[in-house]
Amino acid sequence: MNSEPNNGTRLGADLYGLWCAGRDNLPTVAAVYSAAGEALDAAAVGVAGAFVRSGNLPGVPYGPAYQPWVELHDILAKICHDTADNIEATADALCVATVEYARADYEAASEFARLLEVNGEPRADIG
Amino acid sequence: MSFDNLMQHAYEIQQQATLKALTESGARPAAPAGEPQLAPRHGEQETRQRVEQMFGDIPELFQAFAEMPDPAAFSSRISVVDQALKQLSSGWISEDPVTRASYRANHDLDEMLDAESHIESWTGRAAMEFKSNFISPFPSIVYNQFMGIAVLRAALDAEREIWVRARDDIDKIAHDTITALDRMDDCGKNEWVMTFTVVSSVAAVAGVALAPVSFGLSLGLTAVGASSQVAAAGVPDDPPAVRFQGETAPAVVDSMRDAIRLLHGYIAEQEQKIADALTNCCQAVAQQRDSFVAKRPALADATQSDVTGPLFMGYST
Repeated sequence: MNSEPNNGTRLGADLYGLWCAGRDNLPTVAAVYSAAGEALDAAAVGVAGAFVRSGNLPGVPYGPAYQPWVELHDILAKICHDTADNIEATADALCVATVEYARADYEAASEFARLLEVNGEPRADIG
Repeated sequence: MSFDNLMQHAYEIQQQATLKALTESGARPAAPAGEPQLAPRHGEQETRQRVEQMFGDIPELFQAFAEMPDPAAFSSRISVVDQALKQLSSGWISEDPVTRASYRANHDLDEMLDAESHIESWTGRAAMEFKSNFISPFPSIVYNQFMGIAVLRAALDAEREIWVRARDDIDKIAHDTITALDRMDDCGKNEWVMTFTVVSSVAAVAGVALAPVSFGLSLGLTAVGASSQVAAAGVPDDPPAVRFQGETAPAVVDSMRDAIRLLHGYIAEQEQKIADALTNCCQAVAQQRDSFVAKRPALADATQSDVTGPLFMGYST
């Protein structure tokens, strides 16, 4: 197994892969988590109004299930948003890394530019 | 008659019970407002006041039910939570553990594996940790997140079911009371049976298994769902059939009050089942947080000046 650091055209190909991960793959997954988190946020808007009751009904004003539902909801919504943020930040780091490696290796940068030209700019499948 | 006419039923019960009780007491009902009043008899006015007071609470008893939670308010939220489930349906799991409903796999999640193929040749510490700590457990974590959201959705299903059935039950109580007041003077015993369907609203799910993310026991999640939708569940409680009777208007109305009191208790029991399952689920998620969310990758905090160093991306081979 080759353990020597890649450089030149080989590194250029690796950089194109990193760029794809940072511009397409990871943002696509982050968008899934953003959408899931937004759906959960929407489900909780005004949810107290669904549970509310008055008069002599048991559990006035919201019943015993409301609070634990909100608690579990908030945990899961935060998990979705945090995951989206973490993946987005990682994707950004990969893009920054790509630019930095390309800046340091002219031949790798040329290969990276060629692959971008041939394959096109990777874009996330969002929406 | 239906739930939408509940308050109409309540006033009808109050009016009918008042008329019957006045007759039982030998008093005549007051003439409607604006019409000539009957010549007063000794003690009649006091009897009317006493009887009216006796049934004065009836509208209030039903008012709380007329304003109880609307099942439709839960339905709209259930469909929104469903959107979250569709997003996190990875194909590694595509079935709701409570209802067994199938969700089409969201192939956008497969892009995490594509990202892995682009990062695997990098040798920096953060790059390698991203593979081992974030990408490798990703399928299990998505699976567990899906399960958690399915539990959240099922709780809304169960809550909705309670109020659907509570509407049927309170409507039945009103109907039974009106019928009992009608039949009070017939021969034979005036009795009726009320089946409290709300008792069968919530069904427990045997336990929602989680995918292991790290070494150690996975606790699984406790879930409840609407008994009409839960596929593989514990059997819900049988709806109790309670016998009521009443030979006089106050006795019939007392039976109605007993039925309403029982309905209050049954609703509280069913809601408590949902609350307990959700509380357990919150605890399970808190205790196994690593099974539900991967730690923030170190790469996420790399900067322009250090991202290419050995602590982050290092070099590719």
